[in-house]
Amino acid sequence: MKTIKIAHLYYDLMNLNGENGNVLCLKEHFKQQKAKVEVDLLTVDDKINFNNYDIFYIGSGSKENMKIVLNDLNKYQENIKKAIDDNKYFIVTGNALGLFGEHIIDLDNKKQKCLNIFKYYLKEIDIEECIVGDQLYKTSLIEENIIGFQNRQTIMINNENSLFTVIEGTGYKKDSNEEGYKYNNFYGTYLLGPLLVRNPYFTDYLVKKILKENNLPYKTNHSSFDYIAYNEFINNKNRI
Amino acid sequence: MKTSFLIFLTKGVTITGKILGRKASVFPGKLAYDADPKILTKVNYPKYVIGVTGSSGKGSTIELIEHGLKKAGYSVACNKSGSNGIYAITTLILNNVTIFKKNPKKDVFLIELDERHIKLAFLKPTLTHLVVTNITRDQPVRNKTPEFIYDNIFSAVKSKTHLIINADDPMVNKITTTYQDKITTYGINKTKYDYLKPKINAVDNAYCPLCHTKLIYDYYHYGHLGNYKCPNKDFKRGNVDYEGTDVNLENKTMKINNHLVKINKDILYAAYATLASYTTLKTIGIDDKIINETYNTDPIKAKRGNVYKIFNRDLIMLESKNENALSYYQSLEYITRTKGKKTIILGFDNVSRRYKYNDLSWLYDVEFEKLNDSNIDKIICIGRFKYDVATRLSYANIDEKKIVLLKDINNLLKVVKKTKGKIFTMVCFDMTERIKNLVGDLK
Repeated sequence: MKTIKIAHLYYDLMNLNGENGNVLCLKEHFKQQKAKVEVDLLTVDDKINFNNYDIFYIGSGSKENMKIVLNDLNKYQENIKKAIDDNKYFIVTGNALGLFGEHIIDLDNKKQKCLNIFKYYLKEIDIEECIVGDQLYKTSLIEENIIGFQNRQTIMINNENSLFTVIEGTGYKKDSNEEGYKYNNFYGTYLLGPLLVRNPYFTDYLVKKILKENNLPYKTNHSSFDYIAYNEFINNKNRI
Repeated sequence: MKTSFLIFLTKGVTITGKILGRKASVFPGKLAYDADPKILTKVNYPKYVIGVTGSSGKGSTIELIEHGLKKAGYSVACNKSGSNGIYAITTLILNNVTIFKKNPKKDVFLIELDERHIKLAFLKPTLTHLVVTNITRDQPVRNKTPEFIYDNIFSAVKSKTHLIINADDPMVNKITTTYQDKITTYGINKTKYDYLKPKINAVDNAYCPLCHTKLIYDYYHYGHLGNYKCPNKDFKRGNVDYEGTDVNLENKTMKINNHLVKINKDILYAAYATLASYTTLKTIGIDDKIINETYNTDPIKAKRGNVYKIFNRDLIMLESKNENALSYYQSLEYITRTKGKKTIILGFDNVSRRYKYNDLSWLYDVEFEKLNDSNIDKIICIGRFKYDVATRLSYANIDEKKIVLLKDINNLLKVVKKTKGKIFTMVCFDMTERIKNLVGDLK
């Protein structure tokens, strides 16, 4: 039986908002499906072979840590581009979205070059204008709405392939009702939560898709605590 | 004249508030500060103005410094109540200066400082000493990242302030690479409670601030506190001015620079508070006889107020700060170090008392994996987010048979009665009060 391999990229630098939880969640959902799953924790100076993995996860980090990561990640630009084109799964949360765009512009208008895989870029906004709050989105991928949290100091510019539509909350920039980025199996969003923990139906969508693509069995099972937590939250009208 | 009026107003409103049974630690200062945001630059200060800041441990450190200063005969103005923002600082200072000459009425101003408010309070280099306990991820909605907190604290520090810092924390110790004035360092040497690898992936400041290479640790005390060095020799914890050794939490003792000192709680953060306060008292020249009295012969009595007896079992209330993984870690560590059967009550209705957001991501920075302990009988999940807490526990591989989901808090004690062992609450402010009321009703 094939083992699903997950690479948690820069686990020690891009893990500012409990994003370890997203990887734990993926692992748990695969285990519930009786699939074999392995997680490798990878960081600066590790040799990352992008052919070896089915899923790549990267979470958010401080500005300083993002610079350290970019410094290391740049050498993999071609490998990452190929992996995305080859339909490998990339799950990217928080400000890690910025790594895959053209550049990030800081408050002094200085540009930090990024991987330049997608045409969007991030622009830092003043701390007083930070985007903070609970979010409620929808997506064409699943029936259930998406919940989560944002706490960010950047906006996204030139986003042409959004992942979610805003029901309540803020989009990729303040006047947008679209959020996130999707291209092939690249799923990127500013949402924290952790995203996959708080949205088990979305996680299940990804897990089911990955299992089917690998000719592995899938059985619907929505009984674990994360589903109850999701339903409790979504049914509580005072949630936000 | 305006300043004198605002001092008078602050004092008057404070007295009135207290007569009305209010804490009156914030509102009086708000009136004065909003009327004149530079008012704190227009009063005179005593010889010692000591600030204590950091993500955690401020309150317990302040309490011990105050105890030592009073033993040494100093009069001390201090905001012990946890009110540590700009308005509370203004209330404290204006209430402790004379109305017309604006002179200090106490020998020492000892001030707990919110990390983000230091720069508002000290526009001039008024602080003589600043103790920095640690910088960790904490309340990310307002404090953003540890780097942001570092910048907030140290951008407010003017030269002439003597820094007293916890060198076990690389984020705090980073200031030694740039600060030109006096710095005194403290740290705890290897203890029997340490571990060799970080317990979770979310270690703040794991890289050298100068060359950005991953720091190598000889040991971790908890979180990112420990003995670290950069492999390129650019940065290290190194030797400290005041070193805690031989920490024995069971006996509640440690040695500081070879002097035996009692710790007033059997938990590592209390050892840090003891060491930080000791370092501060020594730095300002308090003599050894007084210091010995402060910690050993006439210490502050350990607060046992949070231990109750129900069903002939101990109920130990460990208040844990939401959105602060290290606060939970301390509770987890205490619980797992306690011998015998245990039952745990865990949960919250609100993430924060400051804001109404539902950010649960920090639950995954807390090492709940520590609760994989065969002595734990049941973990009772309470509050609005009980299923989210249960999810976290199941992801920590805790046996689901041990997890009890309590729908109605009023049934808590009925459920607890059927469990075994010492009872620990690991809850935040809102649930602490509710559980205390239930226990009170039982009596």
